[in-house]
Amino acid sequence: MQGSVPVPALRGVDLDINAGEFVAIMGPSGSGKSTLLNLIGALDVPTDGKIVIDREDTSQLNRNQLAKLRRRIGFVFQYFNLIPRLTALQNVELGMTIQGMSPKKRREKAIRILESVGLGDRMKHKPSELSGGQQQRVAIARALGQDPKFLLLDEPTGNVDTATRDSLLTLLKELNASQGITIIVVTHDPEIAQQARRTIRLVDGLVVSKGNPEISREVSS
Amino acid sequence: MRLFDQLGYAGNAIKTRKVRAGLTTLGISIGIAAIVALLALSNGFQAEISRQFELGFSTNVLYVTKNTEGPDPDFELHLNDSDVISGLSPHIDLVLPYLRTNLCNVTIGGQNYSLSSVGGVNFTAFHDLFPTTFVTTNGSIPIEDSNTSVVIGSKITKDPYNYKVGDNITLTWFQTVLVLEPAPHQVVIASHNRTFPVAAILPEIGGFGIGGPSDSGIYIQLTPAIEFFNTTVTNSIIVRIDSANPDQSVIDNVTAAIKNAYGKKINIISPTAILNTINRIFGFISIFIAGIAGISLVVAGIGIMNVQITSVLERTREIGILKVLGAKDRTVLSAFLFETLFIGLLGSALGIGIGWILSIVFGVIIGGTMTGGGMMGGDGGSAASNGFRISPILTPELILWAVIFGVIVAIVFGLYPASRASRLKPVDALRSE
Repeated sequence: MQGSVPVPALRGVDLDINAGEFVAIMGPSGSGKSTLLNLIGALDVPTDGKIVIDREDTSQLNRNQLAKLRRRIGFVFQYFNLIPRLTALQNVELGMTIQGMSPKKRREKAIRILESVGLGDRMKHKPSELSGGQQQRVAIARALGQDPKFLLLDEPTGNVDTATRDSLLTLLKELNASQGITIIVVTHDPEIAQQARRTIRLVDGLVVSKGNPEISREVSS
Repeated sequence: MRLFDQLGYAGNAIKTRKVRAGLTTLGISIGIAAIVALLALSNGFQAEISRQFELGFSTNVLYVTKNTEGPDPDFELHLNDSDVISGLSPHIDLVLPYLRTNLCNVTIGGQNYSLSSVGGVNFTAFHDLFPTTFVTTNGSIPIEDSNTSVVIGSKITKDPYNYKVGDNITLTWFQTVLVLEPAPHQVVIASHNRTFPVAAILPEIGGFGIGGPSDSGIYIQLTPAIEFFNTTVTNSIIVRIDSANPDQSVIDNVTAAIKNAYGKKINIISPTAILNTINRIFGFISIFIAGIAGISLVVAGIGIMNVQITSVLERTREIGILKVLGAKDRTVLSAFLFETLFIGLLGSALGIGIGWILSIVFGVIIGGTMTGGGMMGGDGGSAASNGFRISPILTPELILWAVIFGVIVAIVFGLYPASRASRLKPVDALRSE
């Protein structure tokens, strides 16, 4: 929206992403990448058309149903969006807390995930006491705690150094390959796009190339 | 989200903003403290008034007096009217006429003092009616109706009178007539004096002494009083009902029987009715006072709303994160409401404590002023035993209502910010800086 005149950020997007894919969404600023990400993540609903996630049409869902749907989506933001007053462990637990998991179970699970992303010794630290790369791992751990259908990452390399980027890429590939987690990354970074199995390019709200989902599915299956 | 987790989350949010939460809590505390202190004091004051009142009055008696605005201005209640009244109802077990009091003078050291409560009454019946106040530990109350000794109130034993048992009191009263020209005034046509020995001194009674024995009274047996004052006109006739705590219906019956016989020529005063009226007035005053104190609670509520709106603005991103993680609107709403609920509960608890302390402090101060100023009888320290003192009363109902009000205010004023938070769209919330 600009003023009161609606400006469509996306026009005519027709896209399928299958389970197990590792997809990069690329495009210049203002091409509608983030809008697409918000729609896929059920943070927003389209004014026209529909988004179907796991056979559920988001435009048909009410606010509560959308909230429940989001519990199955792992979001990792460019600025991590950790809650500053909570420790790494508490941040990771938060999603599970919202799902109503018992304190004992969610603590065990959060510890396990934090250890798996290499933060076993940083669990009691608050975000301000962690490096950018570590904060990002906490954010990924929180997303993984949701047992997500897919991980959505928004510009994951925008705020970290090269070394962190490399280890992030390794982590993402590992999650995709060994655990079969679907990964969708919105990025400017050609390096990331290269590592993804498929790249979708957006320009001015239009998909100009969407790679080949068939190949991805074959690889992931 | 589990209830316990919601509470924990709200608690954590408060903990990180201790000063702000503390000040908001203080606001609620002050409001609650004001209400609790004022109502506890008012309860105590009311109880004290009732206590003082009951010292001078018995609840099972009625006072029959001449209606000065009645149809017959020359009508007087005479001693023999007590015989008429006693036959009116089977519920009446004692009728005591109280001879009209005259202003009497006493001369002490060349100085004239006037006494307004010199009364003629049958001592035995008077003691029967007021067994706790018309008694003595100093001297003895004469039984014989023609005995010319007097019984005096405790004030008459103090400055400037200083009478003791065995002393003689010379009372003087002046017979006057009304002269209309040039302006209406009383002219003394004769003076009558007589000396009475003091037989007994009453204990300190305090209270208002309406009808019953009073600290400044001088009591003469009926027969010598009739002789001295040369009258059979009564001030009032006290009627006692045959049970210590009569039902209102019995009181009403007796009242109606007397009214039937005398019509509008007389007034009937029921202490119970007066006490009820006093209590009703106090109830109203209490509510009024609490209402004024309630304004401070509303101010505190606005404080909560202010702080929570700021908090929602500051934590918009956090709200967005909660929603991204799948929190429902209701969960966000209750997370914020629980914060204000904590503030309300803590504020109420503190407020009740502070209010209680304040009421005790003010009770002592007010009690001190009243006694020190001699407002309610007794001079200085001597009034301590029976003087006016306020012990604040904190009833369980008052505590309950204080907590309910504190919590209601917290929730009502926290509702708007919380619902604003809950209605935020996740995309918009995350976009905020």
